[in-house]
Amino acid sequence: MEKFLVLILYFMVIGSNFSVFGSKILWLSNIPPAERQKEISTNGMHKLSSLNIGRGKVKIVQWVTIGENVFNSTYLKNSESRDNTIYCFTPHGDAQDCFMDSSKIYQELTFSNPIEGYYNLYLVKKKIRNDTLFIRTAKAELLNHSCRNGHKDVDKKILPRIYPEVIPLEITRQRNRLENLHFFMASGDKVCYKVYKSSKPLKDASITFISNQGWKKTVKSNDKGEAVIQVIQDYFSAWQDIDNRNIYTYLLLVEYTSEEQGIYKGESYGHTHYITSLSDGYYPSKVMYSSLSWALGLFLLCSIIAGGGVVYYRKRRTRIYREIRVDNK
Amino acid sequence: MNKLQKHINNSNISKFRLVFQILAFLLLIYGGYLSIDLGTSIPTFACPYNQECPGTCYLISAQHQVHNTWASLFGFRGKALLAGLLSFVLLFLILNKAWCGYICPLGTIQDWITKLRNRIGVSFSRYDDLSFKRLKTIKYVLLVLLLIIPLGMSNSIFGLPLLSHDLSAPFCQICPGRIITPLFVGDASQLFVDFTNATTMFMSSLGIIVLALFIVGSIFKKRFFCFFCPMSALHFLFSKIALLRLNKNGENCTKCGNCYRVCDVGIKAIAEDIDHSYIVKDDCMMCLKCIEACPENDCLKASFLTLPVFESTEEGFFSRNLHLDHEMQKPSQKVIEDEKD
Amino acid sequence: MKKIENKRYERLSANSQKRLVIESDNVLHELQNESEDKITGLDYFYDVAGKFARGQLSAQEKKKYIATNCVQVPIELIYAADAIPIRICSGAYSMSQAGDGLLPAKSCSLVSATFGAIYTNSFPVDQEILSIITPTTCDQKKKLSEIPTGIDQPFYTLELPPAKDSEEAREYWYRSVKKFKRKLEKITGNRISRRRLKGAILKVAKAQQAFRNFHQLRKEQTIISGTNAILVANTFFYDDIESWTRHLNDLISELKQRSDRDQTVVENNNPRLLLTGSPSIFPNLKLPIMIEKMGGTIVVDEFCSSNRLLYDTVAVDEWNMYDMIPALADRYLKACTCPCFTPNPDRERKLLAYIKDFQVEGVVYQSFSGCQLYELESLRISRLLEEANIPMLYVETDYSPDDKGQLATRTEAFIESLKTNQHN
Repeated sequence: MEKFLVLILYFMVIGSNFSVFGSKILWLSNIPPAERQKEISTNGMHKLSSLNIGRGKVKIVQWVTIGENVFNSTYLKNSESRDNTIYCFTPHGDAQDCFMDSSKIYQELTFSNPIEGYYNLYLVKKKIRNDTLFIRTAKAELLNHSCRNGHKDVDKKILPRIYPEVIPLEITRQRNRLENLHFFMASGDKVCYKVYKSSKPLKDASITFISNQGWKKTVKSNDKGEAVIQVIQDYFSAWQDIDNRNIYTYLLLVEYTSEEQGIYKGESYGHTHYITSLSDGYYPSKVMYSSLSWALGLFLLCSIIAGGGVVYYRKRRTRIYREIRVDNK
Repeated sequence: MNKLQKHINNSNISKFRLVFQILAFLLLIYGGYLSIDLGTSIPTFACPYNQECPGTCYLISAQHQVHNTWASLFGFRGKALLAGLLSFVLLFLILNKAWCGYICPLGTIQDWITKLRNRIGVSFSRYDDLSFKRLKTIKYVLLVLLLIIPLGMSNSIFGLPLLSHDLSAPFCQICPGRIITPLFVGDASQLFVDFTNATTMFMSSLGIIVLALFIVGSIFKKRFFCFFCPMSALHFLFSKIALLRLNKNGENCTKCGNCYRVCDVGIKAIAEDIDHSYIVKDDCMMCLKCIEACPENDCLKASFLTLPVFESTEEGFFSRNLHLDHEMQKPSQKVIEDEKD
Repeated sequence: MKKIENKRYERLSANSQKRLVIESDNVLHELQNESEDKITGLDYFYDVAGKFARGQLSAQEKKKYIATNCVQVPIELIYAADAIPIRICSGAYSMSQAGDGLLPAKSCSLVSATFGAIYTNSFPVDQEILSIITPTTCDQKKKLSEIPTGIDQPFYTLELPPAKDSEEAREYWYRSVKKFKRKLEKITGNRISRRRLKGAILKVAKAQQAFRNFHQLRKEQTIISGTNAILVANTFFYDDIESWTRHLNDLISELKQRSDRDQTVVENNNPRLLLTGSPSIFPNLKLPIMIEKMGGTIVVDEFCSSNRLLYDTVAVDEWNMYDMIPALADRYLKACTCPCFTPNPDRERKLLAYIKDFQVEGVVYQSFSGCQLYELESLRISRLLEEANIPMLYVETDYSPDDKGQLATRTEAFIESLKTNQHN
């Protein structure tokens, strides 16, 4: 009995070294720290987190956070930054300059004047602990679009790209057939994610979906590295409190351990553990605030009133002539 | 008059129009399947809510382009607005208001409903003079509103607070095309009432009410919606300089009123006006039925850049009648006599 | 119909009819022999006119006949009810004398002739007339149904509005026509169905088309004299409509052939005249014959007995009852330039258009003494023609042959002055 308890404790300890759950999840957030409680417009379907800096120019900003709970995560301060590598790629696959402003209190990644399409932004932190190299990647797929620029070459601009030279473990959200430069994903949609390990699809990887309110689901990827998850609606409010323009952030995590060895910053390691997070968002489901049955009912009611009105008017006309009124003044 | 002109003048342009309308309908509703792109300034309804549309109607572009602050409108964004307007005007000038009569898919749907009503034998309604004058102004009111409301969303007009973002593209929210056009590709997703807040509830309900009025109105009045269409009002602003023209020679007019009788929209001025030459009014959709019905030579004429397209001729009028007579004579005379109709 | 057992009446009746035959034969004889160059197509029309005078027009047995006065009666409805319309506006001097006794002295000759024909029961068919449709056009026609003749003729008053511009007038006329349709169904016993009405409208349209072709033929060359043209149009009701149309088309093709051969019946440089005013109805072709004898050529006329009868068209949008009946009604109201409507600017515009299209050099305005409507319009028309620089001859006449001498002098002088104008 005691031995059993010790074993459990041992595994918990060992497991905790391998567990990424808890306060160690690194991800990129749309919501600025000071205004976390306040509503901000993320410009919805056109952009995820951008700031207008006047005269039609935009700047895309993402804040670095740690924690598995969307609401209770900690924002990393600039003073705490160490060992950050930032990668930013344009929708065409070229590298883009992106920097972290050291004058700000909190770590934020910014780049300006983006072109149309989905940008891939990565923040990589590496650390060696217990003979294992932990590579934590925080990824965001950021859409930039303005209808003013037209809607040409949509497929090329929204293509989910991977960069295996710099990011070994990658997870992408597969675009569905009807998707274009406007973001419409909402609760209730079935979304497909694909995991790559060094440009090859990864089988049997465990993908965890953490919704806005903290609901978790773990699935395994299939032979092609894909997993389909149905986004749930995990909160319900009174209908007048639904904000159908708000994008609710959610997280996607994938973990993978491999036996790669090497030397990093003078230290050697025998195992490598990859954790990649993808932060994305979804809209509340349309059924929360729009109703087909009410529409049909209203349509039928109006048709019957209008049609009935005309028929009644016609029948009345056969009885009496249209009256010419004379003022009694 | 050479042989080709004579043949055209004797032809039944209503039949040609039927075929043309079907082709234009197929193009504007299903064109996206063939990846056709006609731009965003089409002078007729071509709704982008339909995923397979080949282009978008100018009104939605106008509403989005006007949705800017004064400063940007007088600056760099004003250029986009002017460019859109220019391409709209250039496209419009080619066919004048025949865009309404021959191409608009909503107009085509109304014409089909009218044919159905004709088959059943229900009679149609006309507006009397006073109602005609009063109801005519609604389309101008709608045009002004659809331009002012987006402006009011970015700028404070008359000291009012900025209008809610839910009023974006206000005309699109009440337009029946938004709901009907996607139905033809099997998409019923626009048929909803949005309960998010009071504004969206009001606008989406208004859209459903307008749809109901559209359907019921088209049953009882020919081309009911065209009377209230802000696109028609926008057309009329540029109609005088268009290339396809409808002219009348008042001297040859006997004021028989045939043209007014057959006019779907009910424009009395075609028959009454003998002073002016250019008689396209704001409601006219240039279906050219009036020219078909005119029995005088050289009275009504449709011309494109001074080349005659379709003219009213005595011979044409009677040959169309004769054609109807031939159609009637196909069953033997005896049947017509003994019919217990 | 109550018959009057009165020897005097019977003698009056028989005499009037005999004299009508003599009158019409005289006129036909004059027309047939006016030139050696005979147009064979006209023989049918002379034949039919002769039969009309003898009251022998019942080529169609077992058909119902309905008499009409004036051009505003929608004849398509009568055809659709499987009946035959026959216009009884009379041009016979004998009938005018027969009716004179019961009418005031200053009555228009046409009205007294029509009344006389009705009174003496001298209808051109020997079958029973089911009804006499009288629209409320001029005062005198209106009151015919109320003159106490002792005979009970089946009059029906068709309510025509006195003004045609307003919407109220149009609505009023629609209701009149609808009531008329019901009345027709009752008296003929046949239902006017959609198919029948459509067939009737198209049948009459064919006749209108033939007439229009005939009308246009006279624009270029004078291949037929104006009097013959008036006679041709007058005979519209005298025979089955399809047979009339066929013969008119034959006449037109013959005339076209003659035109190709440049075979004119009158001199091409005769002054071209427009005839307007109170209508000349066969056999009262006194004025047209006189004019053409004096050297003028009538190229077009604006008479309700000939041109206005068949000129205007019906345009139907949807071939259902709710559209065909208003379409019919509109054709008989809106396009009509009868002076019984006020205001009547359409008549002025029509005259000017004809003058321009037919290169008319002079206008002869005929009005019967007692015809207030045409007399009242004559001043306006004369001012209009003065401004347009077209000489106008105003002739006030009636059916009696007494003023032939005076008429001859005046027309000759007018035509001479036109000839001089030509030379200048």
